[in-house]
Amino acid sequence: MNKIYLLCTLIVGAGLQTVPADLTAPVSTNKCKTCVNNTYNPGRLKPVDSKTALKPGMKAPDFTLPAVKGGKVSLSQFRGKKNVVISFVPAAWTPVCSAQWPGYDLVKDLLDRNDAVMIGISVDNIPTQFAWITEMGGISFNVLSDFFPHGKVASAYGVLRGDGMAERALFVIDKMGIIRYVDVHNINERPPLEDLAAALKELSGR
Amino acid sequence: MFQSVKILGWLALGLCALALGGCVTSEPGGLAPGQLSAPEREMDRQYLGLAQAAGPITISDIQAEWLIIEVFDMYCHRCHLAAEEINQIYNRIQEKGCQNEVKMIGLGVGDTLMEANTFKTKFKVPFPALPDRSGKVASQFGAARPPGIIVLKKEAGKFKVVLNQNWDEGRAAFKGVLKACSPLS
Repeated sequence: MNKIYLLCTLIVGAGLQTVPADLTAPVSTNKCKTCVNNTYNPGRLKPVDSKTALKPGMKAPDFTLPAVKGGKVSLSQFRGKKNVVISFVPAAWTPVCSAQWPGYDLVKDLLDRNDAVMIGISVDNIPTQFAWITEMGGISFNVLSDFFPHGKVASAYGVLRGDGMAERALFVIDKMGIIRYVDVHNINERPPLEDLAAALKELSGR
Repeated sequence: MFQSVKILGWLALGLCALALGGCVTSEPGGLAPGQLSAPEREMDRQYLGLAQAAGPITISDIQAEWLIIEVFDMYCHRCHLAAEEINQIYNRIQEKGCQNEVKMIGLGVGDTLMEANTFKTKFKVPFPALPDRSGKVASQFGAARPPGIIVLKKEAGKFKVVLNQNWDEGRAAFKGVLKACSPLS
């Protein structure tokens, strides 16, 4: 009992301060009150502000966009080789987006098992994406810039919002370029990993 | 006949309202606010001193004098960075023989079961890591954004907050605590 009391004393004696429970305030700060430093919290937004006409079974619109890693990436380059998961996120330097792609990096084995690659797309320009990704410790999959013409690919997929941001959306596209799964998600929330895993499992028939 | 249909209609409306109300107030998976699903693994339930094999639990059900909570999110890069260091706290507790009095859990704020399990597996978290989908379990202790550390002490059957610290801001101080733990044995 004494040693536990001592532990308590030591913890309190370490001079630590309790952090206020302010999880929702729109805060832009260089102190880490958010998961990732320097994020801007836009507050709660209209859950979905677009209407995609794309549905499972339809051909996915092809695109070619510049990648943060350099060069350009086209959807068609994966034709016959890999299934593709496209993750549209609304904007760099925002809290939910900053806590989405690092998780997809963590489940690369899930993608590998289903012969799939992840492609991240936002409407930010390359320098912004580069700085943001660096802040997130690096992202291993391709991140593409749909900056100019602004949101052209997001628009082709029907996920460009009225304010110029993309929706938080996932498209799973098979090796033949056919859309197999669409989730235009509530922009304020993250799509559950279970749903993506189930879509990939169905795709690979396992 | 018309009256009966009308009554049935109102009854149906009432039931719908009740159901919708339930959706608003309950947690994902049918949990009440502040509840967690019991750990799936028997060894995790034993570690936490939980009697039930399944069903909802609350933090108060955990049998410990002290509870250290790692507040994480599978998607959060800084949580990935913090995971190994926080695992060391658990190892330190075992080394110093405090494991019966001091228990640890992880709370995956905003995470689903699969996401919390992924975090546990990827970072070899040695203690139970439970999803807190709505974040309400962590927030009842005033949790900071993940990665965070909450230290609770049980008094009269209820846990009181002793420490609530964002890991990035409190890392150095907490490491000091671990060093200071040496004389405990």
